[in-house]
Amino acid sequence: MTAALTSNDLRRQLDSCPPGEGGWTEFERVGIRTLAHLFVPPLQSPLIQPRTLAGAERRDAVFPNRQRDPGSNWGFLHADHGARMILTEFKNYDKSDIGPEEVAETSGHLRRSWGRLALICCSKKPTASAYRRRNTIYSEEKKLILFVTTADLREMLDIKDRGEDPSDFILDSIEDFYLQHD
Amino acid sequence: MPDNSPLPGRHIYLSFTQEDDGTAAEIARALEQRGIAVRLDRADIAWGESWADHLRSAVEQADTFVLVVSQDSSRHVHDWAQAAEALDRRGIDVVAVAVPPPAIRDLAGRPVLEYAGPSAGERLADRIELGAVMDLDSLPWMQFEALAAELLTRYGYRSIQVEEPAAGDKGYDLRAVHGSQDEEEILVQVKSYRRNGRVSVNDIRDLAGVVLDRGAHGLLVTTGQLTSVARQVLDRFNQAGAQLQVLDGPALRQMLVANPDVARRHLTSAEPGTAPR
Repeated sequence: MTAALTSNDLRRQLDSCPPGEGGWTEFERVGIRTLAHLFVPPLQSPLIQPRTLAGAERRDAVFPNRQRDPGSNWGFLHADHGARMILTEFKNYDKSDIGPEEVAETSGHLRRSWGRLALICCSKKPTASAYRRRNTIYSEEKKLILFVTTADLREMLDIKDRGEDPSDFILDSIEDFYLQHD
Repeated sequence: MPDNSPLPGRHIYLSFTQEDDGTAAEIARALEQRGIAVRLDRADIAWGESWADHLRSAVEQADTFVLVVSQDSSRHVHDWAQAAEALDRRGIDVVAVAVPPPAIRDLAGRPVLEYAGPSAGERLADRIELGAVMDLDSLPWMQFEALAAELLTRYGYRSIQVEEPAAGDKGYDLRAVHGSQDEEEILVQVKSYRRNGRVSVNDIRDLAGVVLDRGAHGLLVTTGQLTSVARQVLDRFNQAGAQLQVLDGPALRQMLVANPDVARRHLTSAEPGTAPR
């Protein structure tokens, strides 16, 4: 049996993941491990690279959310955003930017039956136009796309280590989004 | 860890550089006499590696982190401050110990314990034991609120009034005044992470709305820590004219270290040498 990874193992793996094309598989793998360490349970283990029935679309990872108690963070996200399946995509860019196209692509992958919450995990901060596209998508379709940088992943590992709930960070990010939304 | 340890199950690191080998061994012996076993971590830092990086990866399961600082090793002080903040964010109690003459008086806001005199080992053991019983989340909420009020009194806040429970809807729990002419009204929101929740972005927005309305100051007291997102929101409200401050778990614990009588009154196991077995 393999020993469970600790927060420190994941910190080291995140630190050693090279940005750019050479490290994208590793970034996705470490990112999924980190999110699973942070959120499973209460979320279910992720479905990795699930395809649509026709096989045309491939998403990086999807975390089923069966929490229904609105007093819990994920239960609240289910009640507020219908978040049954949390779509997660990974962008390990170094030279190019995470722009509006990447946001639109993630939005396109978010099926109505899954709910209206997706995460884009990225090794660098997205551009201002990516944030604007995200706002437009929310205004038009009520889909909420959060950017989670590697620094955010590290912060959530710290939150978990001190015995608090790392999904508090997700809730704060959403509330901040509402405060700033045009 | 010996069976008679006053701190069973706690992992205590004693971190030091090569220059302070002798002092570290002396500290370890003094703590062992009190039944406190430590894990020695001599940080042999490679050229180009920082202490902060070393500690981030080396410290796996620490509850208390004792850092030995001397004139000889003081060139690392910037790294230590960074490391202490990183360990705070993980909920680890950081105790800086200075070998006389002390190279620093505080480490990123934490008072430094001067390791001098025949009672130095005892004082350090008391400090470590106090840190071990400062589980603020274990206090019933009303008791935590009373502790917060007493600490605020120590730091110059006066006329502290507890609002009626229904006043929670107003976005604050206590009212106080501060300043030599009682000119500052302070509205305080008190949150115990496990008892009545955390300080979220919405709580900051609510309190900011009230203080801006009344021209008052706001203080958020929490056993937990704010997320970086919540801190950015707080900064934005302050830039817009709200006067909000935060006393989070690490800051409260430092205040209790500086006021051990308050800790003893409110935390039942805070008497020196009486940590729970």
